[in-house]
Amino acid sequence: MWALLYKLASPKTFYQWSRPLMYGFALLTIVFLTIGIFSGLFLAPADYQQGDAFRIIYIHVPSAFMSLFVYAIMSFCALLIVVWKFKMADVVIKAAAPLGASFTLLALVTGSIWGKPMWGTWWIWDARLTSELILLFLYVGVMALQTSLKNKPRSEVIVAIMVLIGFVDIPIVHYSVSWWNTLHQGATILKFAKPSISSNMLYPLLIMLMAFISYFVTMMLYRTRTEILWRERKSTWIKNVLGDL
Amino acid sequence: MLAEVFSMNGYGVYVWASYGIAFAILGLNVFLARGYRKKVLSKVILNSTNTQD
Repeated sequence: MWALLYKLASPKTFYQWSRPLMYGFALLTIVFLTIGIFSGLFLAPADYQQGDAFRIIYIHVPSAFMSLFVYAIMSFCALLIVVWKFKMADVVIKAAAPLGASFTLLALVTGSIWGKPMWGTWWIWDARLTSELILLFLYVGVMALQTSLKNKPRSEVIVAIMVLIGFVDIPIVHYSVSWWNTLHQGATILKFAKPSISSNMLYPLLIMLMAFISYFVTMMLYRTRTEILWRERKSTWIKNVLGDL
Repeated sequence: MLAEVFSMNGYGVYVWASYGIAFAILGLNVFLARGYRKKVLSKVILNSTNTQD
């Protein structure tokens, strides 16, 4: 089992098997995005309180979910680096960080746009918004650290430790609406009880969530393959890859 | 009919702006990643030809 995993995660093998997977997920992204946006904008009924403004949910919630999900993946990779010195995990962190930062920025911006007509303000320093903003700073911090420690020995371990320290913010973001009295609404989808959202509104949301996940996988594979190409540029197998281009 | 779709009962500016920004950010990611790959590819090819010489 471990031997197979190690083989699949070796840069050369990863570069080979990730190509068809990347194209598959790219296709899924287009399909899910098309269906999700159409059903979210035109088929889902307007909310009885928020009217059509609620349709921002189809961008805001998937991007907010992805901002936490991507950081969780980065933390898992950081653990692989610290405990098992797993080389590929560092490549994945480098590929995932800008994507995570993009999702976080998107969640903050769309949340702000949604907040203006609903709350009457673009921004408020409540627990959910503030902890999500800290998450954006964490992503930027990880990227800055990676750039500043480029080519330095044990840089991947230092970055991994920073990622692991930042993981503290993830449960804070998620449970902030339960732990503190916030203007931001409580959980409606990601909770143990039945989701308190109509199925007509829920299905487009789930489709958009699949679209965002597919997009992330596509882009992460693309960026990881590029990074492998750079790091392995002196390897002989790269010449064969270049011959195929 | 089309005007109704754009106005979204008065929330059109907020809704369309959100979707527009989403496309811009997701699109920018693709654009930057493609640019970086092209840059890396040209450097790797250059490195490969220099090694052969």
